[in-house]
Amino acid sequence: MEFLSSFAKRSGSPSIPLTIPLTILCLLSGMSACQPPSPPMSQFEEIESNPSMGGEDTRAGSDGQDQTPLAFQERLDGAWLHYSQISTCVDIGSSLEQYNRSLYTVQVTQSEHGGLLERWEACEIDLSPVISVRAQVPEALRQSVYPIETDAGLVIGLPPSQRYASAALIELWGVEMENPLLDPMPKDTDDERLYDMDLDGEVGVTLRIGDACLAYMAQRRVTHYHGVFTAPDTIEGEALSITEQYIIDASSPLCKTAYQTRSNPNRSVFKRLRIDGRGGAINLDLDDDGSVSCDELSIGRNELFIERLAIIELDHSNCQR
Amino acid sequence: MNLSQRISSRLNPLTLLSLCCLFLLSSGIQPAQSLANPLDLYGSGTRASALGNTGAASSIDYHAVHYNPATLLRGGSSLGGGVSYALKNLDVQLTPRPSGYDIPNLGSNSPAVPTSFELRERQGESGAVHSFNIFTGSSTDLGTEDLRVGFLLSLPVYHSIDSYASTFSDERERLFSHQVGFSLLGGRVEHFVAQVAAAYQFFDWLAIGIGASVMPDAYTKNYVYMNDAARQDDVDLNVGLQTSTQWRLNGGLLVTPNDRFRLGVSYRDEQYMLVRGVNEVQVRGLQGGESYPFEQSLYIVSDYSPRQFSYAGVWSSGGQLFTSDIVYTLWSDYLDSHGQAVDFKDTWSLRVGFEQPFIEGQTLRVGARWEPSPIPEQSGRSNFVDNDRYVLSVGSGHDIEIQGKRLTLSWHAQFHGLLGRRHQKNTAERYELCEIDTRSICDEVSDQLIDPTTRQPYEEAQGLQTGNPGFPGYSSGGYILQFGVEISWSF
Repeated sequence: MEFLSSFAKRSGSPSIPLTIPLTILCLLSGMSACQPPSPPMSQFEEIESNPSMGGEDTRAGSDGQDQTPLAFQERLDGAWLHYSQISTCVDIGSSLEQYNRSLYTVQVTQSEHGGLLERWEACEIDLSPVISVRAQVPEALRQSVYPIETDAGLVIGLPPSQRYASAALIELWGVEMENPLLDPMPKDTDDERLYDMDLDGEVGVTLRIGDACLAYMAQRRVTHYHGVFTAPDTIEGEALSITEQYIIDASSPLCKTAYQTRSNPNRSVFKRLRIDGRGGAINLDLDDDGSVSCDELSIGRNELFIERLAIIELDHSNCQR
Repeated sequence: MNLSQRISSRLNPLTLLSLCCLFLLSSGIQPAQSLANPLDLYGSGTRASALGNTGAASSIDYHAVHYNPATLLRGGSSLGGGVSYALKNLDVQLTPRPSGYDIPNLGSNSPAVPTSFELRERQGESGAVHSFNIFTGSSTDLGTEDLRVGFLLSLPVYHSIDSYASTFSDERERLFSHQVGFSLLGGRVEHFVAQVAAAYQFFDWLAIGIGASVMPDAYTKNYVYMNDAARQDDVDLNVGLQTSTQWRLNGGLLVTPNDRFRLGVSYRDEQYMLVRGVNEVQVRGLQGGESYPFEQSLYIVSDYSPRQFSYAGVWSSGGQLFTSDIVYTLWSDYLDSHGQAVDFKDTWSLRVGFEQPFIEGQTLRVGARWEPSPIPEQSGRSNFVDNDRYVLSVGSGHDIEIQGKRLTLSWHAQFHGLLGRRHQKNTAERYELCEIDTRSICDEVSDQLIDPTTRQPYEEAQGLQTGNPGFPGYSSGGYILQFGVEISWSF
């Protein structure tokens, strides 16, 4: 430090001219050394895009072999897949479209005069989300409601111009009625017709609403399907459906709110495919017992959905009044 | 013998200093959530800034309010102010994302916003930003020998980036800034600082000072009515705002065993701005429930300065001065701007400065310091950015006598060099779904998510899907240049 003092005295120069250039020199030399290093290499391998699914010949049998040409059958007897997409408009200020997409197996027995005895087993019930909140139908509920038998379906005409009309498919959740079609829905929690249908300890049935809460409710949905044969193994047409709900209670107040809903028949459709192998149709009756269970359906459903069953996407503009 | 003399006779200065150090270290004070403030980052005033941001034993005027209030007693009254400019060239470079890890578009089944709908492109921090701060302060002896009071104020007046929002340190930030940026440096730390202090000379060899820093505190209650739950752009809104101040303790002592040597210890409590609030939300059609109206809570912490202990020594002779501060900063238990705990390390930084008179009334100052980063390797979910940093500083002071009083013009320049750093996210055999407490890089789309078409798990959901902006890695570096000029008057 004595050296610095003596240097300062000898130089006799003011400190500003000496220090500023030195400072600038030091700073400029340091800047170049402080650039970030190149970022590290990724430890994660590149993954090729998933190949698009589908492309397989869905008319091939479940064993992968080509089937015989499709042929109209005289009768509808046998096992069918029935995929319904019922559109409902939910009014929460705006009107939003919601779909109930249900996949059934239907075991059909046709009488001589065209009457149809149908046994409906719902294998899947999906409700599309409303403002990102999706209601889920627990397995216990599904098992408690189905199967349902109807005996007033009808097939009219001769192939290939046959027309199909279902009976009123009345799906009652959590409530029993003497006349399911005409009795009024319960309006208070003391109504004796309400009962613990899914055996979970709560009256009515339990519907899970998103991750938020559980709704304990009763519901009646009455649906009529009518359509035409578009191929020997295919019936397509419209669905007319009315849903009434009564929310008994909920685990959270948010789920106790009953929204106003409207049927939207213009966007409600169904498609029914023969799946018992008759007439060259796909055969999902893997155990050859004459019917197709949900388990058997699950094995072959992918092929059917990829090629033959299209999911209708939500379009809220269809619900604007 | 009075009380002071009796105490003085039983305690020597070094024993007292040791006891104070022990007390401060063992006092169980909780670690702070931390950012820094401009005075922590650059220094208070041109002299201390040129001396490597030392000051717990070497401060001499109103800047003692920041470093160690006890050192107010080393000078008389003072008044001054200045301006500082900072050029920050901080750079974060991102490793390119490998293909196959994006959030797929699964329509209404998407559990996270698909990559294709991101509002902003993923980016690192880059480009130079500029800022100006002004500072002023004063100290006075109030006409006494043994008492000083003072205040210090630092105000940001310009920053080339308008605002720094709170951020998430993980994949959630994808939907906000979608950026990986410096966590503890840059304009984010250049905020308002206000401090006051008082000091008293108890003995010739012992001065004790106490002070406080103040920051604003805000509480907001907002009332929202939504006429249509599906039209969230159309709401009626009333805003209520309450502001107050949050005072935190500063303090220190200065021990002067002899004319050439001084020891200082100071403590500065954490300080921060807290924004709390509640949104009361009514939605038409959802009224009537027990929890109606809905409440959304708001808890944002910003402008944190860490709690610090400084241990300092000064040796001076014939106008020469050598000063050194060792600063212990409690970065552990750091909470990010959303109050989430993260794993930062406490740090020790070393600061040295040297002051040498050159010619009459002119003094050259140089300094250096080493600031280790408290942020550990970011190989998991979080993307904090900070680098070990060295700082070189230089400056000078020029005294002018006016009517027997000393007017000082001074300047300083600092160079902060950030040592380059890389972070690489770790791979795993299996990736956890992202939960609030997940620490590793995590999956935003469950492998079990069922495709309603195939009734099978989505192929696109298998393996890792993440929008984490820091995935799969990044590097950081850069430098800061800072200059300041000050005029002060000692009287």
